[in-house]
Amino acid sequence: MTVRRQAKLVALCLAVFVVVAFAVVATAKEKVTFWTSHSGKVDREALELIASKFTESQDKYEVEVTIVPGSETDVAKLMTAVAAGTGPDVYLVDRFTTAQRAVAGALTDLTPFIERAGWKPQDDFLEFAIEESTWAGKIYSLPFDTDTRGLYYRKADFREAGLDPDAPPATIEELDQVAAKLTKRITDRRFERFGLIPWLGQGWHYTWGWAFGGEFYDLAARRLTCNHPAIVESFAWQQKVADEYSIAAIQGFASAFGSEAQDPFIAGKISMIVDGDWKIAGLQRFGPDVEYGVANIPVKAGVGSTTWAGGWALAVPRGAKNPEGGFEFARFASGPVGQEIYTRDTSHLPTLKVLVDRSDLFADSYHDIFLQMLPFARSRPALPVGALLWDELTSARDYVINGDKAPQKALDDVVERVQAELEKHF
Amino acid sequence: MRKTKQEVRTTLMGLAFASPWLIGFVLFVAYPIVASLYYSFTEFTGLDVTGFVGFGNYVHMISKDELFHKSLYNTLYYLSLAVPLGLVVALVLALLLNLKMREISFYRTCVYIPNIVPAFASSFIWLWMLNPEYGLVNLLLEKIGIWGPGWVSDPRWSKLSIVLMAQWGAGGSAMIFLAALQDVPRSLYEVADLDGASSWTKLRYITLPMISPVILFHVIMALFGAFQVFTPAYIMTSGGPANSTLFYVLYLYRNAFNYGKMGYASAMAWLLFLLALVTTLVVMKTSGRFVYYQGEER
Repeated sequence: MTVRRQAKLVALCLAVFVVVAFAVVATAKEKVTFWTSHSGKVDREALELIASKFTESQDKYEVEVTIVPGSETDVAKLMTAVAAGTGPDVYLVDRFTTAQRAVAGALTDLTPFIERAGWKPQDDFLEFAIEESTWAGKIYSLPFDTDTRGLYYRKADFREAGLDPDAPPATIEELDQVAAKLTKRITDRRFERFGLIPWLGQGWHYTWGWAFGGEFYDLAARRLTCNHPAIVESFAWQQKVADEYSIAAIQGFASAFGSEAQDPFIAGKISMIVDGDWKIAGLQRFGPDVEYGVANIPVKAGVGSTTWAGGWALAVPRGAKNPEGGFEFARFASGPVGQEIYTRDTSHLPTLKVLVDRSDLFADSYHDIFLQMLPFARSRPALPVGALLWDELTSARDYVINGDKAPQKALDDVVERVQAELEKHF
Repeated sequence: MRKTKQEVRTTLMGLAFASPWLIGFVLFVAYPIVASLYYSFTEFTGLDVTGFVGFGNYVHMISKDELFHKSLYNTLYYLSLAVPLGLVVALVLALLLNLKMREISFYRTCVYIPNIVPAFASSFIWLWMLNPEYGLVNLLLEKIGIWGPGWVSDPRWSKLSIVLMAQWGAGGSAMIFLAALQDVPRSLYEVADLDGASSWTKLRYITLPMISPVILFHVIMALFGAFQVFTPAYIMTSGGPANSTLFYVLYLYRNAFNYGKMGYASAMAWLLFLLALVTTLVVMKTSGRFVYYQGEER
């Protein structure tokens, strides 16, 4: 074969390839890439189901789900990918970090898409959820699932201690009395069982801060108020528990706790714990014989019922190759079809008003209690310093229970540090 | 001096052959280093530069940031224990592995094995070993009548636990020491034996001086490693309890990727670099008295 003939052949092959490629592209759906750090089997499969339902529901887009490393506040993978221009079209963010990622320039403002669609998300989503997705009047993510927290207690332990298993403590005072009765010591520094270790499970700073009647942020004054007297009191209350039983002894006892069947509540090492609705699934699987009840989180006398709600949201990262497709998928997944699948398959709570009274989506009766908490549930202040505030509050709580700082000082320090960061954004 | 055509050609060819590395170095190492210096003078979220602050990040870090001080303290605490301890452990291991025994290669393999386990995995293993109630370490201590501490769950013990855990990887350094030990000329020991020197004298006046350049190398590498300690705290403790294991690089990582303060994190990185540089220079300058290079006149 001469060189000329060879060249002709190559050119012909190329031409055929180009034509075929164009034909394929023209008929194929546009790709929408969706990243999530949810690697657990149940959550992942539900997300994949939603993605395939969306792909089937229309002719334009096709969603590809990818599991990426990351966690609630650790989005290193997303940040580096967005910086490199290789980010996805949709990312599942921890909703309370929306403002922070928006301010960092990692998210696309969804307001123009929402307006073009003539849609009012405020009508569809629960108020606390859409508030968390909003920063400076613009919507940066669409609320997905949520969760609430309640007090789990073991009925058998209550009976054994001579307490009424159908009358869980409703106030902090009652909680203290009940916890003391349920705690069983082996020696001075060793325990067989604890009534309550306040900071375990979901007993976070926000949980007890609100239960004591505290406020973490003053929206009008744009000031953090984490050193609110009631929050200081909630820290002092936890410090009292730490001092009474010796923090080293409690930590030794608690570090033996595991997950699944070694979960301290399932294993009977603690009688009460504040935890989220997801614990129901764990109890079903690893402790089917545990007889337990769920109640609202006990509050300080005079404070109304309270709990806090977290959850995730769908955002379109900046520089997405297909922002329209990303928005359409986010809307579908956060809409009635997507959230119904997710609620039914994962037992997470929905953020859509139309799904709030759908207790039929849950296989058990315990979820009802958590659904009923949604009307008074609160969300963490939607601030661009959300992750920092969380870490600082957690450190402050640790300082206090370890006796390194007094409650007032620890919380004053949080306000000072985080307020300075916050003010950069106004 | 003018170069001939041939010389220019050879130089160009050489550069061309080295270009994959050169391009990679410039793009992925040199440029990021220079860029991070620039970013350290800005407010940078990782995506957008939102302002130029001059030395603001550095000033804030040193004068105002309580956690910066705490994390620096934690890292220096780790460094001042882990480096000397690591040296002693590795040396002792190397001396033991240098014994003449039939099955010595089996022991050598065993000592090296932990180094094959990724830090990520070994951190998980140690989390279990150090568990206060079920862990193997406290179980053994209990057998000899000691009530073990909470290890990583107790802020007074957490840093020390990570220091002890780091010794698990001493086998790698021990192998380097072993190679150096075997390079020490036999004749020196034979002469010492003729003079009736004790084992300790031989160790002190022959072995240690002869391997001192390798010890210096080890100390400098260990210092670098200790300044950058990150993985065990990231995996085992997330910096807790009560920030007792919040090491410098972990706090840097949090600023960069959790709090969106890449500018501040860059400034932290540069300060750490300067600190490591000064420490290394001090070690190099003061080492002359302790380090002996063969052929050197004393």
